[in-house]
Amino acid sequence: MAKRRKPTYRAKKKDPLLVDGKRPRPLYVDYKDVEFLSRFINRQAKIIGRRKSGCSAVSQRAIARAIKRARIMALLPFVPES
Amino acid sequence: MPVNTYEGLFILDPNEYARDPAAVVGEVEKLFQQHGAELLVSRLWEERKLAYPIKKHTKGVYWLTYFRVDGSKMSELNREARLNERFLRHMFIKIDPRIADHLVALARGEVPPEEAPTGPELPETQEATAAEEEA
Repeated sequence: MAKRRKPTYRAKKKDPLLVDGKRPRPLYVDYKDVEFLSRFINRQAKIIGRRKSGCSAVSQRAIARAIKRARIMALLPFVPES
Repeated sequence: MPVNTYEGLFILDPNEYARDPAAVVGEVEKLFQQHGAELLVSRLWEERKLAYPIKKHTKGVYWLTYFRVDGSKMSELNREARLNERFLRHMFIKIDPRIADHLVALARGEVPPEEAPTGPELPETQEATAAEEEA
């Protein structure tokens, strides 16, 4: 029988959109808040995944939508400058 | 169609804006007037470098507006905004009626900006803090 690797546990990341441990309703992520959104893109200007961002499905969608809007308005790049 | 609150962000041609700001801004306001939109806020948001060039411009003047208009007018508004050469780009977004007043107040500078960077203060969170005080 193959040796089973010991499972490693990692503390769960916190959803960055929670306010006092709760999700604000209606959830609204401002696409003009470039400083906040730039935390969710990597060096290739890609949207980082939930595994890294720690977002819940709902907040990840909201952030992704905001980033895409910011890109259209040239607030964030589609592709990084060389 | 129902009347909604919308947010409109325009990227204005920086050269035109530098030459005659009033004319370009007048163009924005005229656009809304023609379609019977009620302008709530209309102000300069920022002058910043674009993340990528648009029509060979590397800088843009961002003009922020909030307005109320019947939803059926939006397609026409969009079309006219796209035809206007003084706007490099624009975006209209429907605002949830529950946070519309808050965002408009924020844009007018009536609320300190640090109060709502991502989401507005909501009764739910107030209840949470009240519960903590009791404990």
